[in-house]
This record gives sequence, C-alpha cells and structure tokens, in this order.
Amino acid sequence: MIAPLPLDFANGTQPSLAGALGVGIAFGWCLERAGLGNAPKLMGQFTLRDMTVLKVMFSAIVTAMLGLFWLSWLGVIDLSRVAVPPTFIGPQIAGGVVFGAGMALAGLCPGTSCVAAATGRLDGLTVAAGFFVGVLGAGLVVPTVAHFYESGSRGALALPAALGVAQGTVTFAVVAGALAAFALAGRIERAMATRAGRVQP
Amino acid sequence: MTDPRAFVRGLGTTAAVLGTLAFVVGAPTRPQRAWHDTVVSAATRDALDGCALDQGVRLLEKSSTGGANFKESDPLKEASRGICTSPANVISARQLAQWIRDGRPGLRVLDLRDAAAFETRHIPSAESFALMELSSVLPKPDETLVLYSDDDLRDAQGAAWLAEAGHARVHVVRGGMGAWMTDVIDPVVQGDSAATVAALSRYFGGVPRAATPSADARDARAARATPTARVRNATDEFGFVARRGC
Repeated sequence: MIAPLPLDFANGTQPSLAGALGVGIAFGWCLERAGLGNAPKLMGQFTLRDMTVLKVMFSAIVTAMLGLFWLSWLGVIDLSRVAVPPTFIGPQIAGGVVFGAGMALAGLCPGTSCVAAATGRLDGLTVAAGFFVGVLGAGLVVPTVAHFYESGSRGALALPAALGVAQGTVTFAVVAGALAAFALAGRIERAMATRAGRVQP
Repeated sequence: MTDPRAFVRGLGTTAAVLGTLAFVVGAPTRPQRAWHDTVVSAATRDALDGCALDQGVRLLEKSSTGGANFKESDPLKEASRGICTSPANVISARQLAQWIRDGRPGLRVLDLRDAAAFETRHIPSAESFALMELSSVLPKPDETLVLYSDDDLRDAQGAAWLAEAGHARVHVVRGGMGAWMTDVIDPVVQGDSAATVAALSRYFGGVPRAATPSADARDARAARATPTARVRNATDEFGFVARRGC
C-alpha cells in the first residue's frame, strides 16, 4: 500500500496496475509539458544555459513535501503508509555517479527518454532501448557485485531521522533552499544569455 | 489573464509561508490535538455513557499541552482512579479471564502499557499497543476489543478513541494489570463463587487462596515461588499444565 493512493503494486492487482498506468501517464504528461522530453533542453542544465530541469524537479519536491506535511497535519494522509525506499549509501552514491554520467552523455534520463520516445523522437527511442539493455546488463552483473550492492544498508532512512531534527525543520530548509535555487537559477540564466549575446525573454 | 510572473511569485510566496509554518509546527502530525478533540466529542461521551470521563476531560482541557503530558501529570494520575466506572463498558479482570478461557469469538485484548511492562508480564493473548498506535486498529464486524493498562485513564481514552473510530464493542478492564494479578492470578476465594474463581485462576496459572483469618500471605507467596508447588497447583484442576498467566 502506498499512500496517498490505495495502490498495492506488490500484489499487482488490476486496479493497482490501472492506477499505476494513470500515475505514469500523468507524470509523462507533466514532463512533456515542462519540455523535458527534449534532450537539448536537458543538456541546457549541464551547460547552465537552461535551468528548467532544476526548477521543475525542485518544484515537484517542494510541492510533494509541503503537500505531505500539511495533509498529514490535517489528518488526510497517514505518513506511516507512505513508502520510503531503503538507503544503501555506498551503492547509491555509485549509482548516482553512473546515472549522472549516463544522463550527461544521452541528454535524457529514463523517464524523459520514455517521454521523448512517446513523442516519436529518435534520440528518445535510442536512449530508451539503451536503458533497457543497461537494466538487463546490470541484472546480470549484480550477482558478481552482490557484496557491494547490499552494503551500507541504513533502512528506510529519511532526513529528519538522519539529521535528528523535526520534519518541519527539514521542510523549511528544503523550501528555503528551493526558493534560493530558483532565484539563483534565474540569475545564472540571465548571465549566460548575456554572455552569449542573447536577450532573455 | 494573470501575469505569469505574478503567478509564479505567488506560488513562491505560498511555498515560503507554508515552509515557515512547517518549521513552527515541527511535526506533520498532531495526535495530541486530534486526541483531545476526540475525547471531548459527543460521540465519545455516548460511547462511554456513564463513565466518569468528564473529570479527565476537564483536566485535559486545563493542561497547557492539550493532554500531551497526561502520562506525567500527577493530577491526571490522581484522576485515573475511579475515572471509568460504567458497567456498560467496563469489565472486571475475571470477566475478561472468562472470555479468554471460553474462547469468545472476535475477542482481541490490547495492552496499553509500555513495552517493558508488557514483556515482564501481560494477560494471555494480549497485544502490546501504545496509546497513539490505536489508530492502526481498524474496525471489524463481530470484534470485541478489551483494553487494559496500569491506570484506568489510559484505558478510557483508548476506548473513547476506538469508539469514535467506529468500533462497536470496546471494553476496558477496571484496575488493569493490577486487577488481573489480584483477582485472577492471586485471588482470595470465598463464598459460593469460590470454586469457579479458583478454577479460573488455576487455568491461568494462578494460585487461589482461601479467605481464612489464619492464612498467611507470605507463606502463600513462598509456596507459589516453589516451581513444584506451582506446577502441582496448576495441574490439579485440569490434569495438564495450565497456561501461565504471564
């Protein structure tokens, strides 16, 4: 069961699968509307010319965080039912590095590659195909690196518990960080546009 | 048409306000406040009709934390004695023992004391629950919930919450674990009910004592402490080793 939606993906019931399809379509639609199915736009994040990815992702994080916090406070959502994936510090740092390198090379991440493929982009189809090949290869390699793969388990660890502070404090810090990042992103975009001789709209 | 920049600025301001309030609030849940609301609701009063909850409610309302410190509050501990005396929802420890022995369908016993106390000793078949964990107990038809603890105030609050949450049959054990030890495990039997009470006590591994003026409580406790005596007493009623009480 994953709150706030009554979905039980583990058992794969038809309503749950239908719910998952609906969530996937909505997520893809949001990515597409944000322009994140366009590889050059994503690459703009790495070259600091287009900070859309940072804005979209930080907006999603802040919206979800504030929504969960206040809906829980109002008694609408039981936070104990929200699934928190386990933390494996070493493997996840390594995975993040590999993921980032792959994203910088391809210009797309798994989600956005599916969005790009769905809109008929050849680069999206290519990256999505490579993504599935990579998943298959990783699955074959995992048994040989099982010791590292399963190391550093910290359980379902969230920031409040890891830092020993209240969840409201973490929420405030993330919101403040996001707003500061938005302001900084705007400045960076304008500076880069000025340097390139373009006029920022 | 709304200016997009003004719209974005409005969203940012809203996020800043909500984020700052989150810092002030601290925790995303407010169990004590919700609990307090539950306790004073009319449905709660109906559910525990006759139970002297008013005294506890007034004390909770006087508490600056809305009841958050009720466990540590001496006045509330004082009020816990005799706070819930309604025959409608309060059962005796012996009644619960009877239900357990008879295998009453749908019976579920919840221990609201702390985990250490539960590990040390608990009523057979009981499940350990913190008061605030009761929200995870979902109402089921034909289920009878029985709560107990060390003080009747916690029982009454738990019963009130569960009744509010839609549980049809919620009972509390008057006197909690202390009553179980006194009335079931270590009872003094006399009168017409002596044989019944003694049998019930032995079923749970207890050692009933006859109410004779010459009975020496210390001798009785010493006899209970001897394993051979305990086993003999526990088996003579049913011919097999009875379940231990705790």
